[in-house]
Amino acid sequence: VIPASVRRFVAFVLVLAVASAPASLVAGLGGIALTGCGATQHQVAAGVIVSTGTLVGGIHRTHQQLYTAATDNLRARVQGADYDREVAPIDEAFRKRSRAIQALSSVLYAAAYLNDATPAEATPAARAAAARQVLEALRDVTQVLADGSVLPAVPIPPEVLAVENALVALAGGH
Amino acid sequence: MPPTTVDTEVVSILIRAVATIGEEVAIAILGAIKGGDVNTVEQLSKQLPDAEQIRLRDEALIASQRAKAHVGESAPT
Repeated sequence: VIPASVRRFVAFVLVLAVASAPASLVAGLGGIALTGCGATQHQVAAGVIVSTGTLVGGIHRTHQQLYTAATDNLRARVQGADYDREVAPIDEAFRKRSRAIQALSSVLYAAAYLNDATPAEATPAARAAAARQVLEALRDVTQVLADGSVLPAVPIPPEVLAVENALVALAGGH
Repeated sequence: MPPTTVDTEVVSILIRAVATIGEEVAIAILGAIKGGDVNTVEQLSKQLPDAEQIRLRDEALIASQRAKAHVGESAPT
């Protein structure tokens, strides 16, 4: 289930895009939840330019490696139906993280868009309000990735923490 | 043996993707996911958006790991 905060931020970005962006950008943003973070580089925080696709790709690889190690260890202990039963909570945690990583792709794009927004595109108050929404979405994602209760936590790259700090600044603190 | 069912979210992704990748490729991806063929899923799904590729690859990995736990069985129990 996609967290409510993620849904809200996606709705915000679409509204902002329709309201202020050129037609070509609006067309591109139509698929931001799915396509916005390919190989394009974005400045997502002061002094931090990242390829969101590369960043998300790295996190995804780590996420898969942690799952593979956990299930390899489980399979060394149990097989067949016993494996199916004991792997269920691991699979559930893995799927939850998988959805979080998809959301992260969108969150990073939204952060980049906010960072680049000019006063003509969004007033400081509007940008701060939007930054709070995106920040909440980002924290939802990182919370899922950092939850080590079933699978070991996925390390959060410093670039993501830099984005969080930038969003805190845009949101006016907190 | 790999599971005989696929997560409904994955089916939804493939249904949406049919217009982009065509019915044959969508069915091939579905078969690869069910078979846990991670590499084939990666190759065939390249036309899909990044986030959807992530979801499909992860489902294939789940099936792949599950299949390894059923080696020598005729069907999952």
